[in-house]
Amino acid sequence: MKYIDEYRDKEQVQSLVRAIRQVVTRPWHIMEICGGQTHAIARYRLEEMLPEEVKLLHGPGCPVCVTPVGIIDRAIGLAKRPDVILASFGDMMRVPGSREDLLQVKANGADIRMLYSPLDAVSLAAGHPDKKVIFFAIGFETTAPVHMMALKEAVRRKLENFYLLTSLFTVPPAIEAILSDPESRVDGFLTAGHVCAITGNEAYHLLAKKYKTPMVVTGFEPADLLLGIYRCLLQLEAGIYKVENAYKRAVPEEGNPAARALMDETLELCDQEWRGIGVIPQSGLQLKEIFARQDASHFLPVPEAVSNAEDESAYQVRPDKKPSSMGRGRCIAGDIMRGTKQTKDCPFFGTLCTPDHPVGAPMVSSEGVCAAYYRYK
Amino acid sequence: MCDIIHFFRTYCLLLKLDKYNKDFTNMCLAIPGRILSLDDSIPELKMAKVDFSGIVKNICVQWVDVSIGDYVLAHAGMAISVVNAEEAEETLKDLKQLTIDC
Repeated sequence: MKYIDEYRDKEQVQSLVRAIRQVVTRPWHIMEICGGQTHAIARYRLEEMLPEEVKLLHGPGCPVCVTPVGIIDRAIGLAKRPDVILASFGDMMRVPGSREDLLQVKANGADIRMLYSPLDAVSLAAGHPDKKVIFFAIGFETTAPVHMMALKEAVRRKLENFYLLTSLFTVPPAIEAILSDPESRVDGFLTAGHVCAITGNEAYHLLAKKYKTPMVVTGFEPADLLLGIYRCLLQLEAGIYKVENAYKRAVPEEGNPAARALMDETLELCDQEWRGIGVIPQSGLQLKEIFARQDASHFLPVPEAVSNAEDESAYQVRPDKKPSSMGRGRCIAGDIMRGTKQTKDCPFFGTLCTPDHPVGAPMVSSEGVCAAYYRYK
Repeated sequence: MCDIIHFFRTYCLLLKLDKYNKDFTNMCLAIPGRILSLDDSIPELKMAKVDFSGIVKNICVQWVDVSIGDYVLAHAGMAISVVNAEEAEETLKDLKQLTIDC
């Protein structure tokens, strides 16, 4: 596979590991914020290859994992309506809401479709004029414009029955929230290559300078990830902090202006709740007022269930699975995503919390840090 | 009886979901594919047939300037960037140099 195989080459990987070992003189913590990178690091067991001094942390880079419980409850509420077809990426199906998940709701008869692309939801709307077709639009800056493309296409085709339920996040405010936390252990960042392919690198220059933290735009194959880690370590050992692009074949410095223009036209920044972390100001994207008609969040009032991330019940071990010896439990996904704890610190990891019966979202999504570690351990 | 039906339905859905997850079209991973043909019939929705190592999918190429034979990174049905062949070469050269140096 061209442009993939070359970056999985065993010799390259080994020489990068050797280079890393030669350059490291003291402990460093490097964080990535990208579900795809979390998954690849676990899958290729890259951490095991690195010297002990280098610790990889996994930030809140999986939009499936950070979508708030309240929005999942809202999606479930909408899916249960007989006049609705809810379409979603497959990853969202088993993420627990406050009481159930979309898969259970589907098993009970709701019309929920798993799709690869939001554009497919437009065809669905065209084919079912009698139903409201709602796409559960989750994602970071890589996916947000794709949802907007679907929206524009639905408008172009004059489809009155196409809607989006958005749960959209942006990366730089999360980096800012993590770095401004006095407990932060993060020394350097790998930035998500495909997010930067859309946004460009501008926001990261400001962050690198403000927090004196190196940021390396990194890809997803083993050689790409190790190259990103290597370049980050070179900067850390030299005491420099700038934005470097270690994924130049896919990421131009300016990103993708056409995608960004579409986002500017359709979306605006908003305060956003991140599951496990809480509200980060101006870190989310919502539809502009002119698209209020297609905004499915206007259909139902905010569910009573859980709209507050501080609510302990959202992270408790489900009552029917609570072992008497453990008492009240709490999913520590938030601590893991902030980099202050690791999966091995979690008392439920691999025992009470597994992909078959997950406690929190990161064990459900295939891109979540806990599921990734569980699968490849 | 209802429990058995419910269990069976959930089980079938899980199998289907598992197959979906194993499909290369994982939501979060954009992968490179080669442009086989272009379709400009709708100016607001330029499409292309893209070959991902044997699997051909329809991808929207509205945001990229491409010709047949180019490689694009596709994510959730959209091409988000064109793979820069020169930069790819440069990176491979740098990596090879590292192999020599270390």
